[in-house]
Amino acid sequence: MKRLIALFLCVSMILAACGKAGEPAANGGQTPAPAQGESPDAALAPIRFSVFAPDSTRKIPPDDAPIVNQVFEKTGVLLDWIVPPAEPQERLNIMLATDDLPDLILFWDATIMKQFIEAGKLLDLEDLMKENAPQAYELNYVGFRDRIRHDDGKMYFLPGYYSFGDAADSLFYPETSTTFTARTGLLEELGWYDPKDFDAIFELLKISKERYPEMSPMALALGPQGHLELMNGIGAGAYGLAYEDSNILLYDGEIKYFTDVPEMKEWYAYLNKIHRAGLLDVESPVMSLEMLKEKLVSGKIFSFFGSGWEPGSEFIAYMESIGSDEQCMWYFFPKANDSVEKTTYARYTEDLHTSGLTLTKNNKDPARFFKFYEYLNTEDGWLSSHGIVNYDFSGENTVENTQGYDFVVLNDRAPIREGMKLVLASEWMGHNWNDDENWWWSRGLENFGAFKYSEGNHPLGLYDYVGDRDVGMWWDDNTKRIYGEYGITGLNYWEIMTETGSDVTLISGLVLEPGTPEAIAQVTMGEYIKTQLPRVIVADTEADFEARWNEMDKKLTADGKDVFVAKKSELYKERLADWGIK
Amino acid sequence: MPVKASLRSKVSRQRYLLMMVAPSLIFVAVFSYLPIWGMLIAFFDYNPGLGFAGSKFVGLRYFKEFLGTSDFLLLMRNTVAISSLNIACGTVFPVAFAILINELFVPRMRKLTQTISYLPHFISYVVVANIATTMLSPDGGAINRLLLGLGVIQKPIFFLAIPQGFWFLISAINVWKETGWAAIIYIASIANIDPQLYEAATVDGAGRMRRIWHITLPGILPTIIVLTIMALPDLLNAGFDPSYLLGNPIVSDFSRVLDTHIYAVGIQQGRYPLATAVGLMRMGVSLVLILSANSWARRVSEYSLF
Repeated sequence: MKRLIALFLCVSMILAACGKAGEPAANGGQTPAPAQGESPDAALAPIRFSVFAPDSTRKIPPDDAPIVNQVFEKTGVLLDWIVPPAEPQERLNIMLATDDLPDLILFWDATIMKQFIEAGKLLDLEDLMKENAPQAYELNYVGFRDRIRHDDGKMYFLPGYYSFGDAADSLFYPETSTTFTARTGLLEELGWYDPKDFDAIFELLKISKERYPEMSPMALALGPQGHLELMNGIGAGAYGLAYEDSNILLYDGEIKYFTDVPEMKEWYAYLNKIHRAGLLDVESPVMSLEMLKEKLVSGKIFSFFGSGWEPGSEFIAYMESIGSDEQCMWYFFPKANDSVEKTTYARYTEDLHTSGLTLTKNNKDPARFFKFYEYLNTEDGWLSSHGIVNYDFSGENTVENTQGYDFVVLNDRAPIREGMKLVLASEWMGHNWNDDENWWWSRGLENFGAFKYSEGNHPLGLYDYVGDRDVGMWWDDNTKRIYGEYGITGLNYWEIMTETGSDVTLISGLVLEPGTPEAIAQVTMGEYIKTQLPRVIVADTEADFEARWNEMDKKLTADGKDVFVAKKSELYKERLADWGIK
Repeated sequence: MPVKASLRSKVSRQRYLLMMVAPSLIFVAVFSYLPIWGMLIAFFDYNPGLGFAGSKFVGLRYFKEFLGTSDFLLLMRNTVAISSLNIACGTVFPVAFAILINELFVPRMRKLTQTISYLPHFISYVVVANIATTMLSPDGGAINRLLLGLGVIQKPIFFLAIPQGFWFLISAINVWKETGWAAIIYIASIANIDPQLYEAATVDGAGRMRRIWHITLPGILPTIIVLTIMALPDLLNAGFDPSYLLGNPIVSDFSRVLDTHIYAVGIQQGRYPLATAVGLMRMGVSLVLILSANSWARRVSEYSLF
């Protein structure tokens, strides 16, 4: 008996140790059977592609989400999203060190993508695309195909959200909520106070503190998984400067690090002033985005500088759930002071893509993937992935009539463009969007964004999707009322966004070679800023602020700031020369 | 005269026991010893995608880089401070707690107290960090509300933003979390002390404190020494979880330790050679420490680990 037990234990331990602990797919990992009634051929046989997305806030729709199901019925393709809980860079580094690769990787950082290319982990896409997605290759990519080649002349990534066609056919409107956001209750009490500059915001915060002492006038999510990385962009936007995410600005025609730009120091001095006046939530240096949202919803914070969409929509959804229409959140685009001519909060680039969707060497069926990609980048596929199905709707565009239609074709409207039918968002969609901030994701509406072109009309298309865009469709009555008080309508919304737009194409995507001193300096400085910048903001005196700012600058210089800036400048000048810009 | 059994006959006699232990040995060999060769990464400009064949040998470059970094002294200071406090408090408090438990008269009360005391050991540090953050929050945290209510303070204290207090905060949390669990071995050790010694001492007029000082403590001294020797190699191991989960920008000069540095450069930045070099150096120091501590213990007392 003892022998049997010993043998059994031995064998079971060996089997347990040898078992592969595979990663469960985000959607269960089961390849679904074809829909009933369909006889699957090779092109439509169900297949799942695993996709890694470097976005810990990404929400994954279920397989039976309407739009996901719709695209599946047309293509047989489902996506298994792999989303890291935090620090996507860390996961990518581990993937680089192992061969544990998904089918597809979506890169936002060209530096790490280069490392993958050099390690031979990514497929060359050009021939695959020519053979399996010829229309996308010949037509959609014609404007920028040569710009996205790697140094070796090969194509390794597919840029998402690209545009084509002329400007009239592209919804190329910059949009941002990364600025100053406030609850509108107090603003209404003050007769719809409009904080146009930093001084006005400061006065508003003081009033908030007097009237609502239990609420912190302002909070900044400067802690881990917070908004610290957005602070430079907000400051640059308020001063009308051209800023790029690696902490550089184009200032007087030169590339400069943010600590060398006087206006950026003024911006942080302003935040420090808010703190010294007792107007900043004490937990700001350690606050994460989740903590910020909790405090907003529980009425402990009046305003914040940061990205307004997610906290704001969660706040609005909460207010809706408790039946309150007293409060809303709106974001403003204040100037730093009167000398600023134009703010530049909404940064964008003109089809300058340095990273995107890649196929790894472990991809189970690259040809099949490109057939899927080709479909998504036709008009039919693109509209399908936007929830536009059976869109030749002839009823009236009301909530009751358009149940289940995300977009409808209004056959009774005169077309804005000759020969094209106008497609507009349905009221049903707008209604749902306001009720539930997760409705967008649970429907699958943004599931394929990185796989296709940005909003616009396909050159071979029959439908005018650009048309007139009244985003008021997505606003509830309270939101319309409040925005209306500030002169904002669904139709002029885009004008307001465009006014604060900033084309940063020239300084975007100046990618450093991985492992070089300047690339290491960039990372080292970035890590240091995460710990030092919050301390600069919460300095207790002006002298303390100066001392901390100088200490930070000194350390950044020691970490290689000058080397980093010199290299960026060199790349910038090369670009100007290549593009024939003086 | 007994014949010494040959190795072959010993193996044959114990074959089933060996079969039972074989998987564990294989597991240790594969997962603990085999990966040791990966330490070579520290000596190469290692590109994980290209392997050793495609990576250049650079010798001690990364060791020099780490020793020359401006953060080196800060990291070492924080690591040694936090781990020293952990070792000191991790010895004193469990011993004191074990002695106190031993003095309880009611067996049921003793068992209940002991059980409750080691429950925090099983709570993940992520949960503990969240509890600590909530309780210590200046905005409605339980500790601040208590202190304000008692009139001890006039305005809330942001405990997590006091840089100089970070080490003691971590130690306090570790004491709460681990005292009960660490006391188990001391309680078992106290239970092994001959009760006749206590009886004799009582007859001789020794009070409770004298009994503890002259009987209990000497009785568990070997255990204390052995466990302390085993803890000393961890002098450069301050733990990753507390510093990572409870650290923040305000206290970063006191919260960053070797483990968080290895994580930052190795995993987040992908600089595996540098992270391996730091880990290798730490291992070397730990080895020296355990040998030294063991030798010292053998010289000053009759007890040692090996």
